[in-house]
Amino acid sequence: MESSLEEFLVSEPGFIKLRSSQKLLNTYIDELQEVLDIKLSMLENAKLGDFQRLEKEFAERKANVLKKKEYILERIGEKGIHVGERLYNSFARRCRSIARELPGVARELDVDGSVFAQAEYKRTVANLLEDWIRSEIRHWLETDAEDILEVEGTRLQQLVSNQVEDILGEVQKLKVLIAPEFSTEIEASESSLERILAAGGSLLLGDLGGVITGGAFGIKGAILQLGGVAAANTALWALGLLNPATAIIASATMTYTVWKALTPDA
Amino acid sequence: MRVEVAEQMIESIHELPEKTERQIKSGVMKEINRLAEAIHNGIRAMVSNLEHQVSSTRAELEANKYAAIDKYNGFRQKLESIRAELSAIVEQGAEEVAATEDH
Repeated sequence: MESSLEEFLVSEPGFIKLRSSQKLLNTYIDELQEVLDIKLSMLENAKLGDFQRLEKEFAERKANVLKKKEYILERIGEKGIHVGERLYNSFARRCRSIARELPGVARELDVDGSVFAQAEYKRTVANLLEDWIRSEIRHWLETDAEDILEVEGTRLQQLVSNQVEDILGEVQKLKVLIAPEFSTEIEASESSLERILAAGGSLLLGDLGGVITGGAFGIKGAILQLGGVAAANTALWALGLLNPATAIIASATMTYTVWKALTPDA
Repeated sequence: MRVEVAEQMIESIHELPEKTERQIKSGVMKEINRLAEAIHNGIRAMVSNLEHQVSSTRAELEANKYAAIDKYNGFRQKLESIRAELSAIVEQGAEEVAATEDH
């Protein structure tokens, strides 16, 4: 967490850092506020005699929420496999087309050197062809690969937004179950994932007092943790600050892999 | 001779997809897993937190209901001051960023 935060602070532009941290922290504070309202509502209205029934019903509904969570995680995993497959197939097609075109490109080469110094001549030709292959692959990354990721990234965002909204609806029902007087409108779908990301990166688990008064980690801990969450591209694109296509295409693994495959000795 | 060199390279180009398949797919899954993990953690935190409120409220009602209400009203005020503090930090940060980017 600390190293990803450090990377985030060093590498991301100041504006994005501030905006993403501020948005997540405000969402986090909103969540805390909501939990406090629920807590006070329970303290003021609930009766000790109700708790056994309440805990039983909560456990049943909780199981339903967790089941839906598993469903969405499975769908996200399937989407990942599909995107990887599409990218790989596209790359394989481009490689086949490069192989087909290569002899023609070789014929058109403007090569300096003498055919009598064969070894050097061959090396020069090989270097020029390798440059051409690299530029073709770079072009693939910037066009076909990026198009695939753009389309699939948008579909993924749509899938996640719909499913997450559904789950938040279930969480909302849990809130109403434990504090029937508590009722708020579920926020618009674009903030649903944001709320979940804030909750996941926050210190919500456990005692409210420790979080709010700074007992265990306090607000500095929250900033550190949420900064770490924001460091992940996932959070940035969920907040609309980064294109998912850019996040994946910029992944060091992806680009490095292709370059390394081209130059095995590198 | 140029075509001969090209033909020697074609074989390794044909091998490229096979060599990179695993890494291309795992690169995508790495990003996807980050998203899945964030969602998993977030939903689990939301649900566990509510569950904690149920069990802790039961204990607080058994102990001293009114003391607990006072305590949480105090937390509410503290939270508002944290919100104001955060705004001030962000405001100050925005000014610093603007000053740095102007340079």
